[in-house]
Amino acid sequence: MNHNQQPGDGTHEDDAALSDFLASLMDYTPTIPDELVEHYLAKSGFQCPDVRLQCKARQAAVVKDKRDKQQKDKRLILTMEDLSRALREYGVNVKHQEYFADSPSTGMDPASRDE
Amino acid sequence: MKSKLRKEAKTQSSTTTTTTTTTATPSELSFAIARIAVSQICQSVGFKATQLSALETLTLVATKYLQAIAGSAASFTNSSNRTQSNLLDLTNALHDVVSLHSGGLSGGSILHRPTSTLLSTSGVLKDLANFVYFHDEIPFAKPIPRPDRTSSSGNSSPGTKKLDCSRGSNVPKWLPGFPNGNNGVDEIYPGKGKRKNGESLWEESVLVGSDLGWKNWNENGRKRVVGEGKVETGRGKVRFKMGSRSGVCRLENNKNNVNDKSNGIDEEEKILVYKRRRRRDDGGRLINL
Repeated sequence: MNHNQQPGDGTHEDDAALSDFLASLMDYTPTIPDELVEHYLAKSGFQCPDVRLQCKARQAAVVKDKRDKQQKDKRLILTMEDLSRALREYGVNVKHQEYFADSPSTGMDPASRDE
Repeated sequence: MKSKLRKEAKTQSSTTTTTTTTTATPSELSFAIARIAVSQICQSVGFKATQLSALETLTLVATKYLQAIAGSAASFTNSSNRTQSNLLDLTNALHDVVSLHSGGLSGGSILHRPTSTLLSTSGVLKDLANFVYFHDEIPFAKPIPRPDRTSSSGNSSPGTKKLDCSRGSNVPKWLPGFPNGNNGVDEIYPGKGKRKNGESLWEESVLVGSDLGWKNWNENGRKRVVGEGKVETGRGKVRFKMGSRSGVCRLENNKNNVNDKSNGIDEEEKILVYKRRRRRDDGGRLINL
């Protein structure tokens, strides 16, 4: 077999690194709780006794997504505009209202309004 | 400086109201919890406030993202003839999902080489390791009440109260319970086995008294005695008489008295007569025509 030809130190180091990584995952408490992650995993048919990696991946992705929405404005408010713009870069098309009108005839030509 | 998100406070208060009442469906509850977690992450990034619709949309994206990863990992597992997912399945799934939105990632092509190992080549795992190492923990804001396993509401369906490990380790716990075979009467759904008009399977009906398969055997291993094959409604006795010479077979109804031979016309109406002429040889044996 091919993978038995180079058993060398590289694989041992990586195995140690992998086990360290998994151990660090067990210490880290993700913001998204384990029960919630288990619920969604069960809903999708994923079976695994250990779910930490999923939770971390999700949180990392969400953080990356949020960082893209930062604006130059000092008072940061997450708006639908910024969100849809950022999500479009990730391939998610989110439609939202462009503006809200006070009444049905707002913005119409005054001659065509029914009075 | 505002220390709390406006919407986070609102979602927390709305979540407390939903937890005190038991009318929230499991999907609503999980969505509310996810919304709190997402708002906490928003706050950690630096947002001070958010629109409600934006928060809901981001929560929806997050839940669908998690489901996409889980479904992809599950399909990797199933295509390898396994049911329990392992780290390789998860890594492949992460590679798939992450490469969709980031336009590719490092280490995906050489992951499956025999000389490569998981952590050294996977860019996703490296990113995750860096994330875990450099970022502080943000624990969830509120303790989540464990759903009561004996109650019918909450994350578990009504049929799961009997599961635990009684079905063996081959059956996943999140599947509903097996249907009960106690004479069609289910303990969880009492009206389930009985139909409106008393319909039932013909194998289990009273009229059939034979030992048909396994349905007639109850849990104790004894044969289920169902009416012993007796017909419920009373019927008149039927007597058949085979004629000696001409082979007449008469169906005589015992109720309409046999003694009344004078009323031949009425008897003839009720009697089905089959006449068959047969020859007999000298020895009295029948000769077929």
